[in-house]
Amino acid sequence: MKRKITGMMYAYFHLCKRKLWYSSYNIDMEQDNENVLIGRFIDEGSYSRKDKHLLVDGVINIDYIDKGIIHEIKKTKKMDQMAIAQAKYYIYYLKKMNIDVTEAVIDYPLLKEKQKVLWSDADALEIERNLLEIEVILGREFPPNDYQKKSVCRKCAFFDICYIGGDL
Amino acid sequence: MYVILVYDISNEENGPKTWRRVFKICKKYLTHIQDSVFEGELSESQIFKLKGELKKHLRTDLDSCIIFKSRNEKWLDKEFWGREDNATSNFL
Amino acid sequence: MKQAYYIFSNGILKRNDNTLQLVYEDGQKKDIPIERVDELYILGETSVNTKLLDFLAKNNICIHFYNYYEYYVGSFTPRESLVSGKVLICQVQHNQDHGKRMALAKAVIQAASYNIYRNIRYYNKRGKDLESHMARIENLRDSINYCENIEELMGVEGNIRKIYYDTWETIINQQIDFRKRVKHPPDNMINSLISFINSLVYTKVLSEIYKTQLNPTVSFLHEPSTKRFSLSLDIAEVFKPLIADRLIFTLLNKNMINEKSFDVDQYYLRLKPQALKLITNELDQKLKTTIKHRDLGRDVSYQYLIRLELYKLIKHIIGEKPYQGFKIWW
Repeated sequence: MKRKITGMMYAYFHLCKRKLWYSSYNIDMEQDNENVLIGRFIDEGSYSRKDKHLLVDGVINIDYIDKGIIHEIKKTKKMDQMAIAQAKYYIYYLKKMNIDVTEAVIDYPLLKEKQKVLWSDADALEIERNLLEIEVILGREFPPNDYQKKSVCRKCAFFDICYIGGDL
Repeated sequence: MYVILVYDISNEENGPKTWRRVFKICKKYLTHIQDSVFEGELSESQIFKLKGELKKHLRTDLDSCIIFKSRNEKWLDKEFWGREDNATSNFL
Repeated sequence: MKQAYYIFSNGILKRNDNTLQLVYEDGQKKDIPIERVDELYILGETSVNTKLLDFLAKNNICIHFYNYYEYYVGSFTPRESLVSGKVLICQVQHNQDHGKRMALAKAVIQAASYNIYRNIRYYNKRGKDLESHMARIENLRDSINYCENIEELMGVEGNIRKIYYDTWETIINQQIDFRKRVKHPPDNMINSLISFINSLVYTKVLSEIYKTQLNPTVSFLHEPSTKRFSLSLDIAEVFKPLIADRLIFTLLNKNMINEKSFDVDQYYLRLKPQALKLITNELDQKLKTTIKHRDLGRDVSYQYLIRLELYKLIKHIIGEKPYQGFKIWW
């Protein structure tokens, strides 16, 4: 049976392939990571609108849709490439369900900025290529030896499990 | 972070109700050591969460709540000038 | 940082205003900040109810119970919150496959016996002549690799332990009748000290296992789930020399614990309440001791070393990196 590739998995693919593998097999490390916890409280507290978090198919989790435009909320711009890819995956997924959406916006409420994400047909090709690669990664017995820069890893919730055991 | 939290809740406009709520929230996170003083070790995320909970009840024009933070308990000299206690101990 | 809370007083522990409250026998009340509680130890005569257990479960807090004789009775662990089918399947496979199980069991004994060796070496350097014991343990350690089954391995482990306990009479400065270690009832001071402190280490490991995706009943060295959470027993082996044994040596050599710390209650030796508090406090301090970790490049506590050990185990069973048991490196 083919696994459903969730929005989170697709985002992790752009962030770190090890994190993608671990979290896909429910080896989660985020339960006591300070940054993750703070992020979660911000998420719970900042927008009290009822219609936020639109879970589609149990696969993608859209922050909210307004006037046919997908909105994704991010705290910082540090991982904006991931945010763009994620938003495009949402558009792709909705299109597959015959819901025609062509635009997304990434909101940075803390920076008071917005970033427009426009869909082009070439994106579908790129996404499908990525999905194939994700399936290959998940088909592996254990996570790929594909570490990010250690300075980036330090802030990640998976740092301890990734780096324990040495030889790096 | 080692923190000391103090508050002053105004009696006006249903003050006692606010006081009770604030008190109940604080004691989930910290040890109650004196009338309106709490103390204890908290992580950044816990401080964040505590602040979020308290903000819902504190009336910015009436109540005051101050939090003193120190990186580590050992950077804080604590002296008892009256009755001594070990209220913050995890051995009960 | 969350921490363990130890309750020695008699009374009622309950949920009150969304936090914990201890009501002493004389009616006095003490609030315990729930957000700071990592786990709970009940060492007094304390009443709890289901409302409390439900509350603890929601907050992912384990609670460990001890009886009047300071004998570990059991733990209440909330329903598993971190479950990974992948990890469970791999864990079971590593128990079922003889070769895989042996590899892990050997790694555990290798690490545990090295840490034992280090304890002896430490005292040998400090004027206690233990050279011959060290040599014998080294020989036995060499034979670990040749063991073909768990019984043989346990045999080697037993021999190492016997030599180890032989050194204790030399290591410990107090004159104490220290014969063969008998589990229950503890027939002498050191035995009851060992039993009590080992059970604390066991529960600490259990609480840490609970914070990972590993299943506490599937073990490699010990037979799975004979009454206790056997994975906890496996991992405790590795850490007992560092955490439990060193603590026992300190307590006795600094004369913090001596014959006066015990009450003789019919056939049992029982630690006096003050001694009990002292020991748990010292253990708590020890677990909070930090050490710079080479792989992670930051300070970690002894308690967190246990968690890291479990991460190494996960990496081993999924096939990512062979498990090397924790060996004292400083």
